[in-house]
Amino acid sequence: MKECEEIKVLMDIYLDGEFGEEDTQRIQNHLSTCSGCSEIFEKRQQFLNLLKESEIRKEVPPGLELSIRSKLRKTELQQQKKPSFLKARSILAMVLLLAGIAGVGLYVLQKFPFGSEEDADFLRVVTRDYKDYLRQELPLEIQSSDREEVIRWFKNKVNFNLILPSFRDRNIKLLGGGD
Amino acid sequence: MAFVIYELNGNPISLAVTRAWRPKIEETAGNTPEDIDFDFYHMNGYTGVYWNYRGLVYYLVSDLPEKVNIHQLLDWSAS
Ligand SMILES: [Zn+2]
Repeated sequence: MKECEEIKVLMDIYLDGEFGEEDTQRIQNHLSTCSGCSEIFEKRQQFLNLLKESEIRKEVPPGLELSIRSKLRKTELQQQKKPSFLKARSILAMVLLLAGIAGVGLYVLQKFPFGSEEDADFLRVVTRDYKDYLRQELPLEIQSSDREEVIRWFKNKVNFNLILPSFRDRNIKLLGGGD
Repeated sequence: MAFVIYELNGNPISLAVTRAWRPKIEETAGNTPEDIDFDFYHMNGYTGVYWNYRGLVYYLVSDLPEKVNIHQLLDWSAS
């Protein structure tokens, strides 16, 4: 488990291809035996690919920069509490990140606009799925307004126990879902 | 990722749910609906809000005007 935490931190540096043979070997070994980490790794890799093909975000909403800075500060504070091995790497990563903001601010805003790469990754996917749904390019695999039925349908489709809220406003109706 | 669609007066609202990947989320995530922290975002002309709840991450996106705070209408009592 501790190993997994380390691997998750090192993953991004590994993805950037900045590791020597020994570290690369270690990460590869771990990824080949740990399904949890390899799943995360694939998501990050997909995100990087998505990033490469996606259009550069041109306008930045007011207040966003401030919120990024505050999130980065929070991350920095959290990193400081970690053990020294991670700390050195994290500080290096943070320095690179801050240098990135100064140099290619737009790129960084693109890559880390929501506090973490995973958040940005998922937000991108979610927004794209939503857009596809609006264009009727993403049909629902289950059509039901029954919350329990939808949860049951997801049981073998996703690797977690889905907790689905309902809405207090009766005008908001459940239509269905897909995975 | 579970992708669920709701509708408000003909406007689709999507709610995507995935497992939290960071232990940090599990530590700080709201375990009761009152503890939930909502984060807002804008992407490709859509407004969205995301939050953590009991080890899961929720992403809600709609093309409704920003002032429609759908997340405030969430009801967890059945969960
Ligand atoms: Zn692992």
